[in-house]
Amino acid sequence: MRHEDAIGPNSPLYLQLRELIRGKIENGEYLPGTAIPSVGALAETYGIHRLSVRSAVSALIGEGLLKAVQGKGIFVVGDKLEQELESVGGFRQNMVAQGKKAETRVLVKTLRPAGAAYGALLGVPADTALYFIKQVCSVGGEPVSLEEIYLPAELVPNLDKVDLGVFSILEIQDFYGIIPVRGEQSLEITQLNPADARQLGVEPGRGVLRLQCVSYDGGGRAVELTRTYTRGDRCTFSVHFQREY
Amino acid sequence: MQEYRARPRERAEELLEGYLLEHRLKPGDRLPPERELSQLWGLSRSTLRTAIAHMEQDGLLYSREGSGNYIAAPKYNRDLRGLLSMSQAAAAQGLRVETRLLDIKRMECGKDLARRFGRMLGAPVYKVARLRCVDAAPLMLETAFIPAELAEGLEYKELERRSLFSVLEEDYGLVPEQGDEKVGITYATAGEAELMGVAEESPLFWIVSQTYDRQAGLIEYCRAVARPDRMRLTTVLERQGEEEDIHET
Repeated sequence: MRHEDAIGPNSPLYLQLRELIRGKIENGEYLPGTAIPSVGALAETYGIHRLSVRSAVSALIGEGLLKAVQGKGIFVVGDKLEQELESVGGFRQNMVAQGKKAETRVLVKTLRPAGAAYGALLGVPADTALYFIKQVCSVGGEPVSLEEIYLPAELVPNLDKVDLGVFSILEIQDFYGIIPVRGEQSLEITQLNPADARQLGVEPGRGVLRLQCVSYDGGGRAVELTRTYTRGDRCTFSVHFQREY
Repeated sequence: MQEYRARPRERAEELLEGYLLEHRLKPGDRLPPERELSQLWGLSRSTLRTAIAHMEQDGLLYSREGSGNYIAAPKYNRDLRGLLSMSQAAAAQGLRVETRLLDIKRMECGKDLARRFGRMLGAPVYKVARLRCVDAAPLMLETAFIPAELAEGLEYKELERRSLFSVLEEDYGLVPEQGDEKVGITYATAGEAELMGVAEESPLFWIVSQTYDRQAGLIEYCRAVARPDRMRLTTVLERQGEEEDIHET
């Protein structure tokens, strides 16, 4: 919660400075992609200790508003990417819609049995063959999300021959006449194991958002299970709701 | 097609998840001893323990010293598109919500609030801070802002007993008809950590919502933090153009 309304002349200086910097980012004085004044310069301007400046800055780095680049300075991060929970489209569609260039790098593409866990989630027996795909999605060269996708193999029989760098899962399903019409999504916070954290460029202990979606076709058959791990400092999810009468 | 072998830790987490689903374990049920499970699955004790610790952190399991691992209480499901009040939604899930009113005050709009509500600088707004607990455990800390002219006298309402939305609707004729909500991650400040019963800097959901009445426009702007081990956010999406939806979740 941003308690800027509660921060006043009696608040600790680092909190006052944090809100001051936040304000300058919001009103455009500090522009996305540009460096803010150095810690030393801020300390001098406001006559406060460098340690206080550091804690103000590191809080904003933690929130994803600023980014420290070794040897270069502290930069303002642009608007967070927004993913619409409402669209049935995949990652690519969402990013393209916002005019950002997205790339996908496949880490794993393999056939495996569903096992108890994925069998239960997809409503198929444990020995059902699934395609398992694990990929990193990047925007502007920076990893944004890690996706784990499980697809019943009989629904997309030739998946191993398809270049996933060219076609999205949604397009491939389309080739086979599979149209997901309903998705059950849940959003949680979890932590990645060290190897996955490295792929996503986050510290292992840091929280990431985990969006799980089970998609169903018109006949109510589960056609896909996707778990998307997203960097909390690069993305927010948004949803629009309306009262039904 | 490439050979793929899952890492032991991933395998352990998948097996545990499968075990919970397959055996339909209920909150408070005990997991078999670690020794038994590691033998059953051919995993080392330390790998199994790492996986269990991860599921504890995610709020799926909890452990009791010397007695083993148990299935945790179910998470509160917040349906992002539902407009049920939190107490109604919790009741439907067999959970009981309590609200502690931390603060309610009339204040003047700063620049950001004024812009958001389309009002002059200094226009009066109510700020309502509430701590929501589910089954006596802190879940969510909400700070809501409501233009004072739309809800004069809000400070005299029983906001611990009644939901804010039902007060707005029944007493002020404001209908929370549509809105939007943004969800991200934030890290607990010292104050939030104390109220929520978590360690400082631990990850929390960060939820910002705006709710609109057809005539009055924006009636509530709310910023909240919530414990991810006790809450999940859910939504059901339907592709447009299909016939009537099935809202069973």
